Amino acid sequence: MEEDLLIYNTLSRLMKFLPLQTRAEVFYLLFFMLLYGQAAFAQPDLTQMSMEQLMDIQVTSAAKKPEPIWNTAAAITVITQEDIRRSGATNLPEVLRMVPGIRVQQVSANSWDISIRGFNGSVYANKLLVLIDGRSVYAPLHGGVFWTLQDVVLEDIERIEIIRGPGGTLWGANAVNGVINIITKKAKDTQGALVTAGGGSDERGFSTLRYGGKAHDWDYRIYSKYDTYGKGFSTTGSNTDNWEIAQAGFRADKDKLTLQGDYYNTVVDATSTMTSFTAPFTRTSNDTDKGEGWNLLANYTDDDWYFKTYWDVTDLRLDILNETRNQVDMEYNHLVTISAQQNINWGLTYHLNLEKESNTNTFAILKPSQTDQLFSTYVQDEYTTLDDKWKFTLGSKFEHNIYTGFEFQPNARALYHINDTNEVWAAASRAVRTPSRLESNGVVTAYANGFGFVQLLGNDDLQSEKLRALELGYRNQWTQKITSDLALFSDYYDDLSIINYGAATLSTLDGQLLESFPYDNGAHGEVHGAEISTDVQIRDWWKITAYYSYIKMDLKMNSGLVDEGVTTGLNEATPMNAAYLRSSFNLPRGIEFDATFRYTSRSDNGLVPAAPELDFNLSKVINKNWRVSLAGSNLVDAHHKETIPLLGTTQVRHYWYVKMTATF
Amino acid sequence: MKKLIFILILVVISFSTGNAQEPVSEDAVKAAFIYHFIGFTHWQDNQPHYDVCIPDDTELRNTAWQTIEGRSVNGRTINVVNRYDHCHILVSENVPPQEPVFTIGSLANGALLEFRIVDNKLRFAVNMEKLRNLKLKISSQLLKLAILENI
Repeated sequence: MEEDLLIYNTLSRLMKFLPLQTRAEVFYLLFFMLLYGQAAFAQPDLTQMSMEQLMDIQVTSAAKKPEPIWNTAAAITVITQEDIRRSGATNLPEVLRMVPGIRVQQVSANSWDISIRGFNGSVYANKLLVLIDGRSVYAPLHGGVFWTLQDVVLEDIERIEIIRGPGGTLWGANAVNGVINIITKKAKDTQGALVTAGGGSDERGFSTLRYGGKAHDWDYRIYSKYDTYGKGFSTTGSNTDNWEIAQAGFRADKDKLTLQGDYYNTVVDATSTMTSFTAPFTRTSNDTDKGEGWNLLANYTDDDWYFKTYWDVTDLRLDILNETRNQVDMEYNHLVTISAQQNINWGLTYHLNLEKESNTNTFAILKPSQTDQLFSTYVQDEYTTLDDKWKFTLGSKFEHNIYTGFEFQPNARALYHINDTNEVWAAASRAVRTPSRLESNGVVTAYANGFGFVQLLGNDDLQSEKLRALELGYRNQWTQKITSDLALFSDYYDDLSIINYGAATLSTLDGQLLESFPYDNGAHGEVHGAEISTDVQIRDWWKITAYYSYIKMDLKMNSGLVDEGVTTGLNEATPMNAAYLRSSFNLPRGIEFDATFRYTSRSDNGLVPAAPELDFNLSKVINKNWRVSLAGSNLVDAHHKETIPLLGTTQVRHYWYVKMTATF
Repeated sequence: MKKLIFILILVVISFSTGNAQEPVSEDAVKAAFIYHFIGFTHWQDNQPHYDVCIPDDTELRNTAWQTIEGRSVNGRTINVVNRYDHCHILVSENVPPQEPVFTIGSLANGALLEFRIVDNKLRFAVNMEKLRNLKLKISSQLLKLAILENI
């Protein structure tokens, strides 16, 4: 206040030397400056003050509200590097177990069924979009994610942002029930050498080598890593589901430009049942499935726009199918600031997909050589009221794809700041999932003893699956040490693509019966649920993180269609309840100790029992270069089921490992 | 004239509402302090930049990125980074043992300097024993403003 008066007095004194008319003009000018230039006044350059002056400033010691969780009208979870390190996880699926609303189910040692807000169940976990530094790793072949092909140096992850609920407006088709955005560190944040090595039960071994440096105006890093995993548990012990991955890559940053790329090679031991059209019609193949791929990405980010382009190649050599896929993506985004209250975000995307399959009797893709393009644009307006109480977002994506033609995906969101420590938000959105290649053009043939051939047939006329979602959220910072986040959702699905058993056709093939079942947009239904999470900083050295998540799926076949267990199977595949509690200790002498209790409830059909599990991670900083850690996971029992037992599924074992991390 | 008085009143109101002594965010003040700490500290290296590592505190890191990243002190550029190693200053509760790093965290965890809030104002404490064991030279101008512990 004193300062203001001083400025005012000085100005008044100056005014006396000016003619009346000019004085009025100066005041007008000042008036407008104050109205429209307050931001400039409110942000003084504190570095210009001396330390004595800084020590005299009143500071707000309000607890921190991490962006982008707060002030966002969507259900967002952010996994930080510290969360990853402390969790003891060694791969991405295990990291994701800490997120409310995600159900991570390990199907076998080398496959996971991961879905947000329902739809677990192998091929149906297809409504999720996963991005690594903006590069989509959604597999158009079956609409899921090949988790064995997606590896990242966990130490080099800056954060993982998870949006539960539809993200179609910004991310396009296939971001139906969630988006997982993995963001790696800038090269300047990974300078020097990093070496990790470890191993433990189940023949697990892993190692990472990374080096970061500077050359001319570039910061860069190069890395390589290798992981090998033992097999899961089965009662016969004859399963072969062990796997290994080797990966190498780089990232280079210069000012606003980023270049990065990865190469990976995965070998998965797999048991496949191969179909042949001559007697005995079926044989078991113990072979390896191979996945190889590379990608290159360039990103130029300016203050209010960015341009990103990437080229991604995957080459699958499976027993049942070979596939080579090239994807080229270009994306431009621009943020237009209309006023302090309003901005418009818009973007353009072009995506080119070239694929070539080589078929087998077991799994074939009709039209095995396909080139398709996707064009999309989106525009989203964000308006904040003058008093900063309300924030409104309205936008839509418009896109054109080869499978279903034109699609639009709008959303409307509102956020209300009740006060400094409470906010509530609501959202209504529409999202679509375009059919996968399997659903449109796949032919999967198996031989059933004593019956003949059964065949799953893709359907070229499939429409997109549609979701209309309503969401409501509330965040509360109870005290500086306790924050809570609640999200409620009701999802209404239409035109769900399922196997239509009622439309089966009978014919003969090589003297055997052949029954074919087509895919159809044959189901609809509702999914309701809630996610609540809380962080409590009990002491400076002790933090508790907890969540509870509820998902109730209620899908039905469209009228006139025979169910044959399709929708009940789906409704039961997602465990209804999940809970999580992590205690994190910071102890003296550089020791960190984390213990996690996880729980998922039993499946409705009783085939998967409730799974209470316990993980721990103990790590110690030895000196400035070395850290050692010991971790154990799934410690409640020697092995347990996470999915409904089917051909090829195995149980998850308890395991432990030791790990050394060195930085130089 | 009436118009002029009216404008005058508005101007005064604008001054008092728009620029009332609103408390400044703690992070902005911390970042400014870190800027000064660099100027008052001598590291025994000749790199062209000062690396300020803020790996744990995302908000402070973002504030530092906006306010002190790229600034020049003693002819060297400030580089705000998200890592634990190769630091001149490290702001973290995970304090590495002896090395010439200016660590900011809690003294109980072995940090050299700790920010403390006293009467809603930001102060800082320095562990003198730790300082003696480090290969760092810190100006007495900084120390005379600090709360000294383990003298």
